[in-house]
Amino acid sequence: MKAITLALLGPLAASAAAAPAGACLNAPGTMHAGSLAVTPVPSPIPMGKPFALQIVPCNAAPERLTVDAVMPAHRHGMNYHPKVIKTKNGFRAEGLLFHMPGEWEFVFDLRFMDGRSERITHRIVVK
Amino acid sequence: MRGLLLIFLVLLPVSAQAWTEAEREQILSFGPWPPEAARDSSNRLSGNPAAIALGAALFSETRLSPGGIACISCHQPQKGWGDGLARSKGMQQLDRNAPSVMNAHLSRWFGWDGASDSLWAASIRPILDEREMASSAERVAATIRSDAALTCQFEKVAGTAPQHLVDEAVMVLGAKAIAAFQETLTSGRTPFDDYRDALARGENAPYPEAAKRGLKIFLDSACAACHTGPSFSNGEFHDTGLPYFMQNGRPDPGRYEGIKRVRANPYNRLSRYSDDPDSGFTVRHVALLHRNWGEFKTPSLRNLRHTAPYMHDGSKATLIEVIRHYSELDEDRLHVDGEAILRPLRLDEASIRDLAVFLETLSASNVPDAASLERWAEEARKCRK
Ligand code: HEC
Ligand code: HEC
Repeated sequence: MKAITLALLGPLAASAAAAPAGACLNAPGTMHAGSLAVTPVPSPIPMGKPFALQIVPCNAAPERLTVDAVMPAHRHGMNYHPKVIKTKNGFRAEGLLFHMPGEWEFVFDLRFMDGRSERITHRIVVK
Repeated sequence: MRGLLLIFLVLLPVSAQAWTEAEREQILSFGPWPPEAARDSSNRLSGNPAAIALGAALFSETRLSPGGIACISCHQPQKGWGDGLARSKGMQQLDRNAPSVMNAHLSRWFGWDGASDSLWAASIRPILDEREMASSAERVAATIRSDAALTCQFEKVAGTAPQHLVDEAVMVLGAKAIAAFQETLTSGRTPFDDYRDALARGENAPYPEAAKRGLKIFLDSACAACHTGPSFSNGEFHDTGLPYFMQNGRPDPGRYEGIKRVRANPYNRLSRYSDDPDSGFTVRHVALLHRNWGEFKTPSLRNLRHTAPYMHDGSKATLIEVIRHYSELDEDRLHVDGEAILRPLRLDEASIRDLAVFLETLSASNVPDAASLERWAEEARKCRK
């Protein structure tokens, strides 16, 4: 019972600790990848067309962030290098394109001021 | 009476192929056809009727090349807008097959190696290439300036006489007009399109049983990992395990060189000749990777009936040969560190035939012909001040 309450409280507690107020509110299409709220533009991610990602860290403040994506089943990544820029409440990654339908895995690498780093992955299916 | 009806129902051919929901969705993704016409924002002449007419005239203009070679020499309407040769021949013998320019405007990259990022840049390339037309900006500009009708039509399009522009600007506008003409080369509807649209409406359309079986193999064999969307191409680059070496014994680096060339191309979407540098997403973000070595552009699978032989090196004379290649793929030849998509399919003879029948249904009988080119070109040739 205790464990369940904790588990339920967990995400709440996490989002309550979010830095900018309202930053982690759900926009339509927002994915939650670890401590990141990631919103594709446009959403849903179109097959074979360029898209961008709005990335808002919810309970963390990474100094730097890089984005990549791979197709685990095919052992390959994207043909394009996304560029990440800092925004008011997070990051914006531009220049992504999924050139095949199927399962893709986003790989977010976070670097913090104190030298710590963290890798967050998130899988989605593109049709 | 009821009994009769029952018998009738039982005897109905099992044509209502039971597609799963996922298969149905995938089949629908190969349409609708034709796709909506989209303007190329990097080409200010895109969709402009006067420019289309000028472009049609220039497409068949042999004086552009010192060897009397025009676009139409290698992109012949009666040969599916290719040349029917395994490897194309211009001023010199080339290493690659001439792709059809029909539906080419739907691409993201142009050429087997994607060395151009727009249709107009892909139209400058052959003009300047020593092996193709071996021409120059000077020659293109002089040809237009010395012909009254071409000069008149050019002025109509550019708002300035070609005499008032530098040679390079005349060539670029000429290439943009040629691109505007090529944008009109969309092929007609196919038996597959009718079947696909009926499926979308929840109806059944006549479609050969063998083609349905072939379509099923196409879906099951992951062909649609790369041959996606209404053009049956994801517009990107892959290694399908063809031999690396060209006839002269040197390897064709394919996409690896293509990326270097498009970045260095003075006529790319980021260049000063581009009418919309913001559209340069592709060349700005494209990544140069080790695996790009020996990769070539995924071709469209529409109108293959008109465009044999196949592959970047023209090494496959028939569709059956292409399918056999996929069926017997040499896995050792494919990159060890490359993508893991293609596997030898080991298809039996009946399945190979069915897959070929399916591919045949992607060909239109109604394709743009020499007369459609002539109609446009006539308009430019009549131009008088
Ligand atoms: C000597 C034969 C030849 C001539 C002449 C020629 N082409 Fe091509 N064309 C080719 C070949 C071969 C390719 C493939 C090039 C490559 O991959 O390196 C090609 C590719 C193309 C493509 C890219 C198509 C695609 O789907 O990627 C376009 C567009 C094109 N040519 C247009 C033209 C235009 C416009 C002209 C005249 C200005 C022209 N070509 C003249 C042989 C020719
Ligand atoms: C990994 C991506 C990929 C997959 C999967 C794939 N193809 Fe291809 N296909 C290509 C590429 C790339 C080429 C051009 C190869 C070259 O010339 O080097 C091609 C060429 C072709 C051609 C020749 C078209 C032409 O105009 O030359 C046909 C036909 C074809 N594929 C059919 C199929 C079929 C059928 C399947 C499934 C059995 C399939 N492909 C699976 C990428 C793929």
